[in-house]
Amino acid sequence: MGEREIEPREILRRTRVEVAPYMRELARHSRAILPRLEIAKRWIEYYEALGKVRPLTRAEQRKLEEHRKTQRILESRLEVLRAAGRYARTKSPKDLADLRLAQSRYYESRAETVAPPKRREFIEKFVPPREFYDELAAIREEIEEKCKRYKAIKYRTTPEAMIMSPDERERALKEIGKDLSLKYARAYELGQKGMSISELIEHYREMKELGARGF
Amino acid sequence: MDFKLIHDLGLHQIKDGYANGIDGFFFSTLWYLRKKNAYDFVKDVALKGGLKKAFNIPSNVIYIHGSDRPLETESKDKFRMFIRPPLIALREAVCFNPDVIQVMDLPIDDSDSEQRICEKLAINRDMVVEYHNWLVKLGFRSSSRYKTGVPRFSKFMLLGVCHGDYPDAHAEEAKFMKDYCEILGIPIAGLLARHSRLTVSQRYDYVVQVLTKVLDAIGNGRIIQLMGFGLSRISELSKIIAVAKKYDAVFWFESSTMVRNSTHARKILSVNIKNPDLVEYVNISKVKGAEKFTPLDVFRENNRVMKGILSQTVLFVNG
Repeated sequence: MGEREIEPREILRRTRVEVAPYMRELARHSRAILPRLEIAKRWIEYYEALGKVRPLTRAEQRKLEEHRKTQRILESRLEVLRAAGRYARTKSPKDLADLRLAQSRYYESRAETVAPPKRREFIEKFVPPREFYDELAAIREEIEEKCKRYKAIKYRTTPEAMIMSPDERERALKEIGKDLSLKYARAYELGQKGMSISELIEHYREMKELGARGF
Repeated sequence: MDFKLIHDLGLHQIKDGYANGIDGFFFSTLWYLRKKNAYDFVKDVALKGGLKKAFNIPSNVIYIHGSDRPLETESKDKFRMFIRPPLIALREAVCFNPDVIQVMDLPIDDSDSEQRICEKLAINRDMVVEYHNWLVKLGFRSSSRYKTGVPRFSKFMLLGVCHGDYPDAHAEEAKFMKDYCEILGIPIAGLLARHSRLTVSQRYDYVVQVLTKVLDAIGNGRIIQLMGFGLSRISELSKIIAVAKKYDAVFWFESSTMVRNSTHARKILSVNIKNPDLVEYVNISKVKGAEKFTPLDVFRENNRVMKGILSQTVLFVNG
């Protein structure tokens, strides 16, 4: 004798019966994670079983996705709480790293609840502007070219450099040096605090002389 | 006590699947900043949800995002520069969604005077605080802390590099960075290279001194990353492990030598039959059964063997 086919209404009833005790627990402790996790798990099972009988409607699919998201958030939150408890007991660096990884996962699952266009906007805001990379690349190429030419003249590796008179050579080297320092200066200016190490140190000296705190 | 092997991986290696099945990897900005389409790469990775998701790397593999290095040119001091401001580098690091972000740092030179060293260390400290404050401001970290000094919540771990010119200076730096960073980096490569007059054994003794001072100062509450520790001298490894055992500390070894030997030189870690005490990198053509290994096979084998050596050494070393 084959198995009796279960009707969708029967599955729904069973799920409601299974969920009921967890709902009662939740009414007493509204912030409890485990009953909420159980409820989400049962509803996911229900929709998956229903999907085998007939195709899910759009509303049902949306609900299934929501339950899945909730389950992911709750699982990662549980993981964070467990890891935090463990770290509080042991205070070992290994547990600290585990706690951080758990927190990172929790953060990511929370971020998934944000609507995709909004999330994209948020991420794009973080990427540094394109002009910054372009200008940096251009300056780097120019600097590399200048350095090559400087070396060629200094060590006389090209025919052009070999026939240069000492005066000419010195002048060319000076010119390239000047250009190079200008390029470097532009590279520093690119960011608000993109200073060279010697400039940074100068800044610190000035601050110290002015009696700034923390020095 | 715990050890992790962190490998320096480039983009090609990540694409080839080197990052699967290892403890962790270190991805430096060097690998994409020199390319023309760096902006597109950063944006793509950010929109895909980070480097790990973009390249299907398992979530338990630890990803450390390296910082920019100051450029070195012929005239060392005059033209030494950051290629960009630290906070922009941090913004970009956040886009890559790593587990650990390395804080930008200034290395110390041999030619530096006492005052200059102090100033460089002050700048390093300033950058750590700046990184921390920015992360708190943007909601990636909480400002409340555990009694141990670490923030209660943080999406990213910070790796602060403790430079110094003598062991106590490293310890002082570590003491300061302890409040902001979960991981403290000790620049071992610099220590090993700088004292060129000493023998290799003496250099490792110096490293042990530095580690001992740091652990004395901060206890074993933070992970210590041995930065640029190439694991090139396996015979000296026992000294480092003895320190870890004594303090029950957690060390992360950065092993760039292994990647270099595996991918470029195709050398495999093996025992010399004539001298069984010696374990060294040997070309695959000389090792029986390894003749047809691909670079990835060599890398996986070396990783496995090195972890075995570490766990065996722990058993025989007295802390």
